[in-house]
Amino acid sequence: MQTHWSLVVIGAGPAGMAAALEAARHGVQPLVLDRQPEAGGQIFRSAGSAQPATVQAIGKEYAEGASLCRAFTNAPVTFLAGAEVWHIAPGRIYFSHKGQSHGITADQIILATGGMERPVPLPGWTLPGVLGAGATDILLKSAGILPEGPVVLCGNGPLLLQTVSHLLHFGVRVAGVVLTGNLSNPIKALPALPGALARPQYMAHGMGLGLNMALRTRCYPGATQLAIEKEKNNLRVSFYFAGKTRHVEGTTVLLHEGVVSESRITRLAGVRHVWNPRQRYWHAETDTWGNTCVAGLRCAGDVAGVRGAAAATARGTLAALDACYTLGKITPEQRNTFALPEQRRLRRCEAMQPFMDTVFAPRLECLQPADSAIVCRCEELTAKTLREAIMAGSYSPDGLKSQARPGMGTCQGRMCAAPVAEMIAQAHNIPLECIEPYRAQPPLFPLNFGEMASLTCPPEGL
Amino acid sequence: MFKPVLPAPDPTVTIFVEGNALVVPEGTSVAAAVLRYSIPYARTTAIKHEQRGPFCLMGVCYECLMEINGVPNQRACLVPVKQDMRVRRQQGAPNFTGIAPSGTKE
Repeated sequence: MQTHWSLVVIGAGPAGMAAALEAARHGVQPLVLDRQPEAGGQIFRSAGSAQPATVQAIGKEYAEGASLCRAFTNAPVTFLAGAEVWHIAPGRIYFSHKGQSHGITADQIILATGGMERPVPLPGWTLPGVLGAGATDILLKSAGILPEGPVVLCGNGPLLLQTVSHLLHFGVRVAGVVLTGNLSNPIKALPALPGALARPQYMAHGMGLGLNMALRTRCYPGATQLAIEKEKNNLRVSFYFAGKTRHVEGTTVLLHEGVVSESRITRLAGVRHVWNPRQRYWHAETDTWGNTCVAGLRCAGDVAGVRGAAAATARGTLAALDACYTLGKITPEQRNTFALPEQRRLRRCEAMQPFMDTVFAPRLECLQPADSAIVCRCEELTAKTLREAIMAGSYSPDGLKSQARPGMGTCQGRMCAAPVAEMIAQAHNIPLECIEPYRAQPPLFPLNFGEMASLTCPPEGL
Repeated sequence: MFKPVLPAPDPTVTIFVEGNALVVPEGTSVAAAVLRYSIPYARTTAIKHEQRGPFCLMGVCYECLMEINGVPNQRACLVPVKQDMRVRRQQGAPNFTGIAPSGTKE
């Protein structure tokens, strides 16, 4: 294993693949690491290996992803699939691959680790058969399977519309769609509408998905107080809608409350973060080239604020161009010229984002879990238990962690970080953006000591 | 619980989940196989022994932890199926006795 690289890209989704391809075009052969067994990220999952019929069935954007994946596979790029980064420091990366850890150094690093579905605890969300809506999308793309149905979908966000459309397309019965967004969101988003018109095709596609859902499924917009129970072989979703409590039953329940940046790795890297007040999450702060406050570390794609796949490829390309310029492979003039079409594309995506963020803003009420909901899935702690510890005097997620153990399990707080912060903010009346999330520490995922001890390079600076 | 909706890629492999032979397309994950064959849960929790199944399918939630070829705490959603793979549902807290540093059973 080569221990020094001029460029390392972490994440092989749209941003990471675009970055690697652009770098390869200018004579830089990057190392690309990804946790998954193949390139594509989540949005283009398995797109490179999918059969033409599959690509066609899933949609136009996925077809573009398939071309990107194929170009990436054929490019002069060293790609390590199944490689998971567990520590990052300036110029240094430690990762695990096939049960063996490696430490490498890099002149330039592009972090393109993407986002995740916002975890929103509700009673019964830990039952088998309850999954993220994004999870079914992953299963469709990577394994060609979907729930047998009937399916109940709950939540809010563009990905939910996409999932409903896929389920209907493949003939899966949708028992109901319980929509949790504020009914006033579309009105609040009106001032941002002109920006959204920068991408008329995307908007028309989204409206089409919404209309399809409204006409072909039973929707419950503005529902609150969601809970899931096991009822014989079914899962029963109960909620409050139009003045009374209702129930919808299915064999699978899919949850979605939007996509947020996964910021553990960027926080560990020491990057400065910015707060998205509409969508209530932190993401890495970058300039137009993806530069962060850490020298030699750029962020591209959804890890630096969720904008979707089209923006991610543009941001990946821009970050790579700037990295190539820093590495002396291209002149600043060349960088600026190559960047022009990508910057135009990115501007269109960014113009649309305030509208998207507002239309699909999470409802604050939904972000406060009911007392009986398990908030920390690993340590099996309910909202009630955590609220008692918060009221007894925990004012920060790390403080609460030492009091009551949320975030101490195998997922290392990925699933409970956001709800725990929301609960503390509400209980002590602190603005959410003033609450420091759990401290991110290495290793970024559970690793056995033996593997850490047998690192192939001295863990200097660890 | 899940059904195939797209033509599966040709080569298949046989894996054994709790001793039962399952035929699954090569390249798919153990978690996908568990869902496809309606295996009711992937693990039970360490504290209250409640049943859990795959949730995020992207390696974030750690709900699909299974014992794969003797090694506990494997995220089934990240492990592609291989011929003759032995998979067991993880019951309660994992047992690491006899696991070599490289993550293989001694």
